[in-house]
Amino acid sequence: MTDRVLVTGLGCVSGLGYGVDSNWQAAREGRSAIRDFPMTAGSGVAARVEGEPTAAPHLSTVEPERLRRLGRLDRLSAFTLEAGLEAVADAGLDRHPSLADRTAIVIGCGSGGNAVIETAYERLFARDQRKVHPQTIPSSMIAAPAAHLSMLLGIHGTVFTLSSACASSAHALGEAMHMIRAGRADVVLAGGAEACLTRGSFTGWQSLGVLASDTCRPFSRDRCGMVLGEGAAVLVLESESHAIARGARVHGELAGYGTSSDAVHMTAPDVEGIAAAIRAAHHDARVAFDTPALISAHGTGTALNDPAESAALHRVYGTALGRHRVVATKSAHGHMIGATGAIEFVLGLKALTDNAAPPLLNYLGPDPDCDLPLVLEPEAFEPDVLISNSFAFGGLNTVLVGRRA
Amino acid sequence: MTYDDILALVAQETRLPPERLHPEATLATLDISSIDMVSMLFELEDRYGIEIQSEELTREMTLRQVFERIGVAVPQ
Repeated sequence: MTDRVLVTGLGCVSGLGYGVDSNWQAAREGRSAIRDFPMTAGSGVAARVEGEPTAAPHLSTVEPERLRRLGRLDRLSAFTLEAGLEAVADAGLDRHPSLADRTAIVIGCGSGGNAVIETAYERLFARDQRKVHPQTIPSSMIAAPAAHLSMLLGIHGTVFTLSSACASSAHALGEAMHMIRAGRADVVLAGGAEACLTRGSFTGWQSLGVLASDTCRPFSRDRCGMVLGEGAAVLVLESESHAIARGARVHGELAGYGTSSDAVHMTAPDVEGIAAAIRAAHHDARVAFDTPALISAHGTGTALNDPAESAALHRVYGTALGRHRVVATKSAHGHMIGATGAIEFVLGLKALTDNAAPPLLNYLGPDPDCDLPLVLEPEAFEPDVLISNSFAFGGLNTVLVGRRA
Repeated sequence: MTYDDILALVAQETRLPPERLHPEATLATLDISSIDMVSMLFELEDRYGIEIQSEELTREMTLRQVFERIGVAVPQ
């Protein structure tokens, strides 16, 4: 029989803070990281990680000589390293022999190191300089975060970055789950990262017309868009046999993974595509549609996503939807793009463990097109499973199923 | 451009603590990689307009020789 895939370590960084405990506490208590985000030209709101990530609790304790070998780090890599170090320490795997060859890394990123790229482009296009820093490519490439984590931890197994826009880290977790099911690895560090709060990237999002000027109000009337966040989340996934053999503490199980591709439009979601991914995830985890679930919605707060997701949830669950509860933590940590699926799965697992659904923030009142059993106040709820939705530009849909330990 | 300026630049680009940057240490013993060396030369040109080709530096050179090539005297 195939081993179950267990979650034995958690780590994250977001605008809500450094570390899983501070993130979960903030989400549970209904605190938001969304603040004014002043830029050189124009302004907006965003959920920014405070302080330099290299001074973060785990990264700052790494011996300088180990860190030096990694070269220059964009915030993207620094976030990944901080979350990865936390997850590995949490799993009790620091310097564990299994890291060397039976461990893999799959990190999802929507984009590479934006700050490094923009610094280089500014030299070329704004100041007409001839050269850019020699480490521009290696420190900004989208593969850098996975490579940096492998170098820091001495992981010699399969290591790569995967990219599917806003579903990147959910895809990373799902594909990592299959690597363990297939027996290709005993342990996978899986998750995602994004560092998109730079002038160029932010302006790109703003120009697309999807960013809210005030805040993120998922499924609410008068919502006016998404709010960008940044950070990283890394989970230690482990085969059940490996986890039992070493007596690992278990946070939960990654029990199912469903995907679909709309193959319709680059930015407009497709109800049937979303529904297909949710159904596939239930099927993979062998979870009935009426099993009480905490549904961690993609819930971006945009005009198009929220009604499409609501329609898909009605289509899949029908009258059983009333047995479930829907949360949308992007209202707290913002849309962390490549990191968002993973941090939402982390927070969802914490909610399962603590039987506490984190409240959806900034809600102004019902939108008839988004009629869902939303959690608007901190609420005690004892679901059997977590259904965590991620839907990306390109129509790339991913749904993860979590269970308690 | 003083010796201290260049020392700080080398420390920044190699991410080595300045106290380890002894004038008699070679680039090899300090384990300065070729990409860090190229980064150092980039910053040198960018900040001070000093152009040195990477082929002019070898891993066997001491920091003192590198500083001399740059044109700053190591204090006695």
